[in-house]
Amino acid sequence: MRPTLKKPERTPDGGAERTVTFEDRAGKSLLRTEGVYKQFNGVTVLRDVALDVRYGEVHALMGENGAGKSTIIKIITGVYEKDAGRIMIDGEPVEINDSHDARRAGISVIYQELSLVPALTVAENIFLGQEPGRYGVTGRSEMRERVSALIDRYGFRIDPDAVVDSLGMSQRQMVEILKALSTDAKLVIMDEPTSSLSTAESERLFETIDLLRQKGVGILYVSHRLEEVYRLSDRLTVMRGGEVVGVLDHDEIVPKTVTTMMIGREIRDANARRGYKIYEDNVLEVSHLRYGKLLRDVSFKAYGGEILGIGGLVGSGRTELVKCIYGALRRSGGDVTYRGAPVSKSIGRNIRAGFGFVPEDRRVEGLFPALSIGRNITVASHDKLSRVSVMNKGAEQRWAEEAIKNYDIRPRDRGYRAANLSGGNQQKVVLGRWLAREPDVLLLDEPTVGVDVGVRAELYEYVRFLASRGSIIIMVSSDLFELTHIADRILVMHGGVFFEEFTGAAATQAAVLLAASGQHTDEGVALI
Amino acid sequence: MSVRRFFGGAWGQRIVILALIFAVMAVAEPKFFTGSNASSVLFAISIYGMMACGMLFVVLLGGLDLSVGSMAAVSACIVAQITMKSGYSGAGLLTGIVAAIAASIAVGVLHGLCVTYMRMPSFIVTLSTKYILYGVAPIITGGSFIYYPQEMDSNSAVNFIYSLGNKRIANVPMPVIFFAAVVVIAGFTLASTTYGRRLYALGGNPTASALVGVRVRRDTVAAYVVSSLLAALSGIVLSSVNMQAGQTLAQGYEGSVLMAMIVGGINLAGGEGTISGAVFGALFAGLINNMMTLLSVPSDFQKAVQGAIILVAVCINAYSGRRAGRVKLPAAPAEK
Amino acid sequence: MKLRISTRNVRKLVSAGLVVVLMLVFSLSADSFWNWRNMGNLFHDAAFLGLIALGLSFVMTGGGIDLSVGGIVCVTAILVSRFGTLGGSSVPGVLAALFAVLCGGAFGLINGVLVTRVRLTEFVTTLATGILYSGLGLLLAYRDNGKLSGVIVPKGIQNESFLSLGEKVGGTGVFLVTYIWIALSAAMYFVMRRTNFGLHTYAIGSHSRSAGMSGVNVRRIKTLGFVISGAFAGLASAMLTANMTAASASLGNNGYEFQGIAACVVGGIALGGGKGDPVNAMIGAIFLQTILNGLLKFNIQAYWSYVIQGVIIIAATAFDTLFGRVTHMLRERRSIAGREAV
Repeated sequence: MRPTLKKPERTPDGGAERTVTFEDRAGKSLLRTEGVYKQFNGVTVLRDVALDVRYGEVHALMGENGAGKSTIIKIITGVYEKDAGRIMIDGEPVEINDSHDARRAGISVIYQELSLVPALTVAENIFLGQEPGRYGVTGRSEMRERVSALIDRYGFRIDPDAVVDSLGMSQRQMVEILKALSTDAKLVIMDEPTSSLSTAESERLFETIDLLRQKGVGILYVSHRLEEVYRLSDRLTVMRGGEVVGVLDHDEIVPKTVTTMMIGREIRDANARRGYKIYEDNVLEVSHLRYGKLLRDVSFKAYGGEILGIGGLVGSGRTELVKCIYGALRRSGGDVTYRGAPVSKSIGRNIRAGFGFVPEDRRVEGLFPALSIGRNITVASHDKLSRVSVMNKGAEQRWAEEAIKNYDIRPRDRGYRAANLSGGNQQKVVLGRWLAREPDVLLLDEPTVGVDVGVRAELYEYVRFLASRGSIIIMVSSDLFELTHIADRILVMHGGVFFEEFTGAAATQAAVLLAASGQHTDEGVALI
Repeated sequence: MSVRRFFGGAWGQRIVILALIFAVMAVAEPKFFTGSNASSVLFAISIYGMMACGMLFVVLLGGLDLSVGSMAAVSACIVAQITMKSGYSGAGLLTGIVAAIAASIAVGVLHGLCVTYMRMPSFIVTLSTKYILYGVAPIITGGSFIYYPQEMDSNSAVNFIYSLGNKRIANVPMPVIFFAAVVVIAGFTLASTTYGRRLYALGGNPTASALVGVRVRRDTVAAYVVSSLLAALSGIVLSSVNMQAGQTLAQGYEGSVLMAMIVGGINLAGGEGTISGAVFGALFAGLINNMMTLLSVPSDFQKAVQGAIILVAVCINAYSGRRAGRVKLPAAPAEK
Repeated sequence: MKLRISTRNVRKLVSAGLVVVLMLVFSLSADSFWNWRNMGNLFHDAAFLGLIALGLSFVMTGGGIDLSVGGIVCVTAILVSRFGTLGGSSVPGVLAALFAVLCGGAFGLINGVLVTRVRLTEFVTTLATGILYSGLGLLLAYRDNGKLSGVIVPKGIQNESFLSLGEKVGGTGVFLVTYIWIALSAAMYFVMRRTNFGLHTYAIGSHSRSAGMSGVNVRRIKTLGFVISGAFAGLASAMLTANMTAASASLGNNGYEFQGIAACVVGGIALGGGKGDPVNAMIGAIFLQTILNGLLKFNIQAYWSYVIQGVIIIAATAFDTLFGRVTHMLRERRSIAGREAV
């Protein structure tokens, strides 16, 4: 069952392995894809994608959510099958059908979710599943020698005997990279590697990446962060809507150019709400809110009647912000007041005070898959549907049926198991749970992830209607279109603070995207 | 077809199973249909049933309570010992019952705290307390069984205990009445109160429950308290049937109750299960155990059969659950 | 390296320190505790329990649980007593012990297959198979005895070679099983800490998904853990049967699985997996037997032993939870300090 991996060759004297490096090949073509197409259920998600990564370069890949970055990576690593096109390594066409093929071709991926075992040491993790030694006895000295050689080769600073559990995130990533290199990877793909790192940790990762580049390893670096891409990459490929829109050299990586390429021609349609009414008495005030290292001094006011969008990259503290307001996370400092009174730290009390929260991860935090649609909707409204803790079943039934009708949940059967609903209907259930209460403060975290376009429009409609009735809506989103078209005011987070605020015509997708990367629009060309 | 759905679904199918047991007994052992046997079956079903109703609360949360048998023994011993020490006075009996209830609440709270604050697996906690209580019972009684006086004089305390287990109202034995009352109250709690709604939510998705305002720890502790409390009640009733209390009272009943849970279609992973499933499970357990007793299968050996039934039922549930799961797999993953 | 040695061994030192304290207390307060005879007995009992805990440590380090070892002890006792009295009682003792190991391993294999192939929950599966195995023991005893409860081979096993397994070695006052236990603990320590199998066991106990992604055959390692657990329970059963010169069909009711878990947990093998090794199991077994033995010297009734074992499991787990939280907190603080220094 053990994957058939090519064991690194050993020198005749039995000492350290021959650590493969690729310095001499620097600049030569490493990976090329040509004309890659991919469809899911009749929808084309990749169209004629051509990538070209060379030895000894950091090649960045950028694009909005849904641009096709993950899909092309999954095709390169054998997770998905391509419908058409060619993949070439060192100029030779290769067939990559599974992860073993990918590894054999010298490709390895560092996923956001690391694959390390916390209780084992660095060396043990690197060789887990392919330990050296005979008769099942782990060849510890050999293992240590080989890891030391590997670490020396790339100039990393890490103790091979350290237990992974005791390492910080950037060091864990280093271990993950070493693990990839131990199987002679020549192309390392990194998918948003800094999203869970602090600034100092990111800088250490960048140093690691620089070392790899010097040794001739090719790196395909997927990121949303412009400043990182500028700091690291030799070239940048930008994707949009499943197509490659251009390849930029390092000197051409200018925020304005990149954002224009990512977003395309921006159409300001008449969809945006004009002249909404503010309800001054319904006010939520957050002042100097702190949460560990993720939120550092956040202050703002939100009023009834407006949809306040919160933008920013993953890891910028957006989710933590709404969870701290709601009471799902215990804030480390600062105050949250609603209509002048402090907001409770108990979720239950906040719900009764008129709060609602649609979490980001529907499956883990929102839905009760084993319960019926009806129970899923009423679960947050027991206070309104019971007397002295006894449920009023008639009211409960009417409540659920009304919500199913109002929010057009299909099938219209309150006894239907929620697990069997489509993603869009599941989200309607989770949103409907709160809308039915007509909350005064509704916190939305990525409300339309995994929801198709038609249902999205419906969800926006419901949210807008609620806002027009005087409720406060705070909507966290990564979707630039959603932010600029649905929100009346946008606050963009960067590094745990509010970086910039946009209203009206200034709220363009490009401006929001730049702000999320820590760039002010008027700074134009200047970077870092 | 899933055993869970088969047994947990319509009563029609459940009745078929029960009828099958009756048919086997009619052929194999006519003694089954005698009055005395009928009442002993009913007693057993009532005891298992009360315990099963309590354990259902815990199992709905994805937990397990293996201490119910020992808890029953301890509570019976507490009542018997305090009543005896008081010279069988009414006040003594009352003190005893209050003490037993308090003890069971304390045990339930301990279980709940270990599971919520220490994050211990529930079966380890309750297995530990099973042995602790098994050791505590003889410490209370001084090592031997306590027998209530047999001569039925006008002593009100002894009479009261005797009536708990043996009196009939409208020809229905008291234990059955207790069982019925427990079913009604527990069923009402699960089906019609906010706490019942929260339990199902909590068992299905604890993270999401917390985000809709469920106080996870408080509700979890409460479920363990219910289980211990009903175990204590069934222990007192059981001891009053035979007018005795001691360490081995209700020993190993957790096996029968666990069998009742699984056969009753209650998902051990939590979130799914009904009171009627627990009732059916108790009927099944009572009849099967009685059938084995009548066929002179010794008690140790009955446990082995229970083990086999549990194993087979769990296997079938796992198999059919997985087959159902396979159909539900989403078609293509969407772009992130 | 430094951190690893400290956290790994602090826990052992805590338990070992407690054992020393207990021994001191009992030696000073009870006359009949500190003498060769009693120590021989204590280490006999500790060895029997230690063998069970030793096997269990593999399942538990791999993040699992095995509640069937009591049942395996029971059924293997019956089987080995029949095997040992085969053909005019001439079966060599070593062969009988080997037979018991194979039997136990086979029962463990059944557990492993049910858990990894049929994919049942571990505790329900092993709870049920445990009951089943002891029932099987009863059934076999029934066939031999013609009656159900009680002891098989009532007049005692006559096979000298087999019985020598349960006796003391030479004039030392130390039972054979104690030596075997120590030797096997050392051997299994090597297996756990020095072989790929041991490494993989830690890996699946610590993070089964990551281990699987790295190419560890999770199912095979898990199954092997159950086989080892069963095999050691079988061996313990043979040694006990030889010591008692007869097999009891009610061994399954003695809660050996519970004592084994208690020994592991008190020795420092965490319930969640990924921590501890056979030395922890060894210390735990001595700890438990010291308490049980010491209490006997105070004429405390036997049922206290149940209370103590239950309290020990809960207390040890609570200690480990707090210990883990404290070390985690310290580490966090250190890493934050380190981060700021950069």
